[in-house]
Amino acid sequence: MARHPFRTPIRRSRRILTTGALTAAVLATTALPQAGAQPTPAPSGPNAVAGADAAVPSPDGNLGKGWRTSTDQLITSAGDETGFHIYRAQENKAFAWDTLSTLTAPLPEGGSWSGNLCVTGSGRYAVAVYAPTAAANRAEGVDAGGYAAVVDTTTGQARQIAGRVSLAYFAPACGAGERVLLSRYSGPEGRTTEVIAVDAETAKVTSTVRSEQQITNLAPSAQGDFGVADGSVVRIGSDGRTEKVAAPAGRVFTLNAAPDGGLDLLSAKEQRAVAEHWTPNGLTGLGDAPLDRLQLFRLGDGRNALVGETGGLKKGAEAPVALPAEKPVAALSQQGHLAAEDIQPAWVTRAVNFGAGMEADVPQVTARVRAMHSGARLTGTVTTNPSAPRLLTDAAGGAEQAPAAAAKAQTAQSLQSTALGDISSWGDVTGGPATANPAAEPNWSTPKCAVKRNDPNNQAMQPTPAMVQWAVDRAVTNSLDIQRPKDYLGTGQPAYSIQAMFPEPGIGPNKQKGLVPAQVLLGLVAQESNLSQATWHAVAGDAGNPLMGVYYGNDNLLRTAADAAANRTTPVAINYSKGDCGYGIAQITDGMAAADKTTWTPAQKTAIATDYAANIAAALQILENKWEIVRAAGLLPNGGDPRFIENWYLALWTYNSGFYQPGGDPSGYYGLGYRNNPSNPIYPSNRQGFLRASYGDAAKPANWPYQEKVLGWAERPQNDYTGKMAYVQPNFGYIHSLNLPSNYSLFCGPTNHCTPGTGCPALNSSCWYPGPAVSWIDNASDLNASTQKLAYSASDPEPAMVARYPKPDCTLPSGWDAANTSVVYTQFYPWKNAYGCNGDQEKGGKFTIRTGDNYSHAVYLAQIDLHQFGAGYGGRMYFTHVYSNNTGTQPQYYQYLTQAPQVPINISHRVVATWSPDLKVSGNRIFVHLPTHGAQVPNLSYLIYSGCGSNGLVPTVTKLDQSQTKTAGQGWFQLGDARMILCSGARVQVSNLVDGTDFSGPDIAFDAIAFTP
Amino acid sequence: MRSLARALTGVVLAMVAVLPATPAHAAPDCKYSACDGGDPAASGCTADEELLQEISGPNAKVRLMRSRACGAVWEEAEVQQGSNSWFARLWSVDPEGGVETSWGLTYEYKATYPYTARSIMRDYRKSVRVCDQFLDQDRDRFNPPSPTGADDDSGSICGEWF
Repeated sequence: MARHPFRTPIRRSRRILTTGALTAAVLATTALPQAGAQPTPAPSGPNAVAGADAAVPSPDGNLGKGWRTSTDQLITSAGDETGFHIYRAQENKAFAWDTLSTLTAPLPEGGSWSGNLCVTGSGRYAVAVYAPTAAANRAEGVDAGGYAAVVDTTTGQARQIAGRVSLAYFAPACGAGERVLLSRYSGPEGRTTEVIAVDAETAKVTSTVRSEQQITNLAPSAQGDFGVADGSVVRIGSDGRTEKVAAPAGRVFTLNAAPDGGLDLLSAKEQRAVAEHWTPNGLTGLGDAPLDRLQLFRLGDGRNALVGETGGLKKGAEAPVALPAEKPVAALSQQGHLAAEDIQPAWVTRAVNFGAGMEADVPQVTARVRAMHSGARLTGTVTTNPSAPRLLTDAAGGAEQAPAAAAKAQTAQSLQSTALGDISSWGDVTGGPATANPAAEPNWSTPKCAVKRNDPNNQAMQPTPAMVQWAVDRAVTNSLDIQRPKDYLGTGQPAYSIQAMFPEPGIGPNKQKGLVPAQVLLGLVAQESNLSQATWHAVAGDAGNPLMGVYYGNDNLLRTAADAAANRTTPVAINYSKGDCGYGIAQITDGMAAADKTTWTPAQKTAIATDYAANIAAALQILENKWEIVRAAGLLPNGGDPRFIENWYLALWTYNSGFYQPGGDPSGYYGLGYRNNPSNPIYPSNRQGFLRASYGDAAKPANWPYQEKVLGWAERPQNDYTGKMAYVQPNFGYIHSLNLPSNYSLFCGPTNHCTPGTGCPALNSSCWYPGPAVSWIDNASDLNASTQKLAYSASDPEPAMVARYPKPDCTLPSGWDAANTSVVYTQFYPWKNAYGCNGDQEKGGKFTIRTGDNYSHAVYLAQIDLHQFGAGYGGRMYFTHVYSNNTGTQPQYYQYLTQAPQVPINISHRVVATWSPDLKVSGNRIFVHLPTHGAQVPNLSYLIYSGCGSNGLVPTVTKLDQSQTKTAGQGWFQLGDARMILCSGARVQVSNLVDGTDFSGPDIAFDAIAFTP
Repeated sequence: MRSLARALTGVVLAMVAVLPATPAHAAPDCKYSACDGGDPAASGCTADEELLQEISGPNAKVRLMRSRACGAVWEEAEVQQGSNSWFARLWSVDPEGGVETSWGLTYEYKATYPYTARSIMRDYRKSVRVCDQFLDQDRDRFNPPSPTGADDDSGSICGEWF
């Protein structure tokens, strides 16, 4: 197996997908459920299958005779768990796709990447804003959770421009030249805007202006920088002030520079998309079309193209090119000869429990394209080239800082690291990073969240989708009276009954139970976690760390090689103070901080973190509580019958962003927060219902408010790894889909200072929606609204686990001399596992881990990518990833030395494991146990210290290929082939820093080692 | 890592009985973390002591000693000379990784040398190692985990992590 993580097998246990609030999103456009609204028409055109790499077949006919000499090209993108990929399809190659570049960074907890892309006026550069998909599930992530890079469209060379930029749908914004605009928002409702101008040629930020207004839909033009604020088109001054230049017909969703120095724009007015052209002389109407049937794209020559139902549009010199199309388009080539209607990574069709297994190891993308010349619609498969140029993202933001500022910052960091590194108080006991100014320091060492990572007492079991549906069905019918035994999953907790521990509170004046539709809760857990109670590294039947939101306060992004190469010693990778403590399948967050001693008992916290069914029962409590808040505020919609799934719209809104209670804010305002208000211009005003056009919507989670995403998942279930629906769809009314509001201004009125055309300009507490109650379904009934469909009855037992891998080994091979064998487990209490394995570490020896450099922040950083895992001998092991052992001069290690030492640049990722046996005999064979999955490193060096004589200090280096488990499965693998004489002090040591690997390599397993005669 | 040459010449691992006999003796007073900070002899932990590692530093031979019964380690220094600026240190790191901490032994000025001193104990389950070191400088920061070819000039010596 090659070591390169993007070459051949992807780290198996990293391949878990994501959607959900944590990531939001995975799925794809194929295999939409049958019973949905707006069924997808069958592909049309003369050819339905594209050639290799999605090349257009019969190009003379489909592309026109001039295709061989055409310079047209499509530059587009798709993300998966290996990174955010930029693709190029050139017309002179019949639009066969190749991989131009991959933008990535290690994601310690797995998950996918997503982002947006634009091409500069010259066509020479593409600018991408990208992020772990999970970032879009937090307001801060949408506002400032992305990274920006520029990619050379000829060579694929990528350079990072900035970090902490907005993931909003309209950024990045390209114009006629190489100037590109990015945005960044801050403040509780994203009110403050930074407009960041970038020169794509130099990959440098050229200016940043700050405005106290929310500015969206940026457009760099020869006449200046434009955007939309308060519903108007504005010119953005160099001081951040905005000057209103036009009042468009409706709510703008696309604003592009036009070749005459003006602007072309599309806005939503009621259910029509209105096209207009702006010059300093004013706006000119260009016509309109149904809202979902008109789009505006930039072409390579500076012109724009209106794509869709263009028949009724005005024609003229100033008008954009009209390109008729039957379906919405995701990307258009530079000259408009090819439209990509849908682009989906292969893995996105199977969000739930994807992970490890037999699926193809090569990342692939399925592209549905339309040759505009012939109208042929073709579907082809593109294999992402793992050897394409790659950019390792710098979590700190890359080159955004001006040189002078960067130098200054570096100095400050060096000083800081000196203070932090000097942790020794001179005395008999030392330890613990001291800090000169604790208030100014990130919290490195004390987790905020109650249930700790890598604690053998806190191992969650990954359920199957059937188990999740069962738990939801029984919870919502108030029948989840399931008894968990004492020490369930090795947690050491007393026995408990789930719905006795988390009783259903009931709703309405009579606290009636059993009224929450199952699909509301199923949509919620799909959005929050992809139905995952345990880390995304774990597939069904695997135990592992509970799925945790932002445990380290670092958006789960690792510090990168770029940081290390720049000698940054205080990376941004841990700040526990910023953790949000979301746990498990419903990402229960409230009350899960260690400091919160009142919301949950310790036993409840453990159950929420480890037991998927308990987590679901807790989520039901919270959801009913939100319903009651909405009911108390008099805001229940459509008559307020909780049996109708649609009526949970506001409770879900509240579930995510809370409800500001009357009297709770000094401003006097109260109500539902503006963040998830569908009229918030951070969401495109022409959006269709989440997932209705394509599962690919899940890869753009920033484009929908939370409640729309949950209800989208309720309507169109996620698929499991076999491609089957993971849970059942609801009983729909006659429209065969949920009856959701299509009027995004429904919660926009005088009470929250909001008008349908402009939104709520103040973007503060005055935008909170206090009422009145609104309805979008008249006389709601089973005919025009949707109700739950259960798959399990109140007497059905918990479905049996269908594990993807065999259970871990619990017993020694029968031929071994067990009495004289010393087994060194990877934990001191080997019975703490989820598989009922037993063992006695006191009879075997000790196992230790050392992380980082043993004294600085690197100690904590290395823990981020270290994972306890329910595999290996005895049912619990660790895995991490290998990193390059390359060394560099690092000044922070230089303090008292006469020459600068060469230190591994990845010392912040270093994990050294040591197995020290208590030997029974002196002559031993050494066997390493390797797990069913999570072991992938070929040719790994095991250092054997015999402990005997002066040679006891010099190890024998023995290689072992961990990747052989892919074919051989779990088992004991001998180190070398000889019996060795070992003495007291003998031990085996392994480091995850290895020679010759790339920055972040495949899984390395730390499993048990046995010393046997 | 210290240079290999130094490792080979400066550190000697005593050959000890491979399988220490388990002598009959009274149960010790403590186990694992309960021994932390305790006196090895007074706690009854020296009864089954075994040598894990020995280093020869400029001031002392420093030994890493272990009691299986107590689940604890300590350092034993055979001091060759007194010093105000050198110490024998027993460093430790929590079993799942963390920031290293240490106990120290001072090298007293005495009329005759060598003399032998013991440190207080540490839980054996931690990562441990012993040093003969100048002030507090001999830390992993000066002994990074890959060969560096560089060291501080003081001549401090440490055993490998155990």
